[in-house]
Amino acid sequence: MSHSKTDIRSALEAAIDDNLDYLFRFAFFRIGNREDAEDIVHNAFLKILERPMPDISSDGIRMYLFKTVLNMCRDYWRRLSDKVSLDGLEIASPEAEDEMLYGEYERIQSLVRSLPEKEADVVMMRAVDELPFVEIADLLCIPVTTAQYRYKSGMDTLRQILSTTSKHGKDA
Amino acid sequence: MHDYDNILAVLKPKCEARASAGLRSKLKRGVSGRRLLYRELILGFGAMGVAAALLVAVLLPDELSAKEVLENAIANLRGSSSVRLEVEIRSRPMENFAFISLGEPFVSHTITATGTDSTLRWRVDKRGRIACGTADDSFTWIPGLNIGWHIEDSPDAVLNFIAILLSPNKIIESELEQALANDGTEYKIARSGNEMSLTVHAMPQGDFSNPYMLNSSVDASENIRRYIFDAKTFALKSASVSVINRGHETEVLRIVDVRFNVAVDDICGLPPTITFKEDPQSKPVLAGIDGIPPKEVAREFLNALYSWDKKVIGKVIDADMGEVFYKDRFYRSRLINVGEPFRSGRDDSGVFVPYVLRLRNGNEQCHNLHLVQQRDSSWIVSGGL
Repeated sequence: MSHSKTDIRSALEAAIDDNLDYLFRFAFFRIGNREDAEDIVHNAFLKILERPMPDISSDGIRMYLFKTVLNMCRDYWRRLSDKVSLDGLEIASPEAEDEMLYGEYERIQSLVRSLPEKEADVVMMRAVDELPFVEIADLLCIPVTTAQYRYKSGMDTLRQILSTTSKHGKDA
Repeated sequence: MHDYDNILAVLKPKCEARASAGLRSKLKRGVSGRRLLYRELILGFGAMGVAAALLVAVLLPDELSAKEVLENAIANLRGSSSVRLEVEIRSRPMENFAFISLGEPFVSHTITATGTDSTLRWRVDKRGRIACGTADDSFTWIPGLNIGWHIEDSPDAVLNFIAILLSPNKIIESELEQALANDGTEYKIARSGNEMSLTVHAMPQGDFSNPYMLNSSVDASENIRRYIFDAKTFALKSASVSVINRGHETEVLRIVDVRFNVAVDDICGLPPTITFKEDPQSKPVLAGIDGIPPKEVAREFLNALYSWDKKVIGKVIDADMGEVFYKDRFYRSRLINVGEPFRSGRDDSGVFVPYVLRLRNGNEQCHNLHLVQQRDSSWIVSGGL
């Protein structure tokens, strides 16, 4: 099914109003860099303009954008893990107003980094991005029950880590 | 799953993560295209949107990667706080800033800008018309006529192609962004000695199956944009834009002087004698005519000129503007004919309606009334008088 440019533009304008901050937060807490997170979100919107969209309902566009941003975040880390392309790369220091945000990124990442990647994905999406399990399952292409299981497993691990940390803190 | 409340509280970010205003504005511009606003009087016909297809040729010398080019350009941007450019454009002094005409002589433009993105402050002065503003708010006025408009939009909407010159150190980035969004654009970077050149060959953006709007602006023409940068600092040294018409290249824009870090004093100052009107498309203030096709809207409006029926005319053009610009010419004009509406260029929300009017002095005026659709789908007159 094809849609007119006007339809797509209207749908995208609505998506910007409704989802931009969520998408930015989603990208930021995965890569910890405002400029790159904004580039990723920007490019995700551009991608919709580059290809026909079968479903331009608000839910259809929202899920497409989240999926695209998620894939771009994964690509981002894949590229950075390539030692050759890392040469000379400097990550700009954050603006003062973003310092707290970067602090939060570091704090949250230090927790979820201890989880297996698949569990960390679900925990981040549920706890940080506040996505419902149905959407998490859709984004990760897994059954809802699997998403719930990974969440439970990840949260149990975190509980254990936090209680140990807390205990050590008290002992110290 | 409620027994994880404590962990959820720990994982929840303690501060808001919001996208910047710059990203929001860039996306809105990209998605909606450069909105076409009250064209003939305020802005002109050359605005453009974002095309769906992607065709970019990036040719880089061996020693320079695309990432390095962009990083260097961005780094250079941070080192410069203001810029003043003297630019010559084939245009008319009082015409909108988008307007170019291959047959016109060059008109001097002084472009001043300071800051970038959310801190951008800018002014463009071509004597007959002046504009100034910020990243998302613009004013334009015609000193000779003592009229002006306030447009809640980015400089792109007012300045069209010239807007790219407000941040000369971001030209590479901006041109690449446009190349990604437009059809059939070739993008080439080459290095020669101490200079680096960026050449962009772009095709007219829009549907020109009816060529009425072809070559009316840089975006609406096949054009070659050439920039020369200092190879070390990436500072802009010169630039030109040529339009290719029937295989013949005509220079329509050239930069004659560039100065960085100039003293900038109150470039957003507005003249106190001018009352600025709200632009009807960025902030709807006209009732518009709804429920009938554009051909009938044109007929209703053009027929109303004879008796200067303010009830009809005031729905589709600003009443005060009508009195100042049109009443003297069109009062007692009789409509002879209205043709079939057509589109030309990159204007999804507007149509042109051909018409013939017999003016009260007996002369006939054949022109195309430009109608645009407001967000509520009602039609207003945007030009063609």
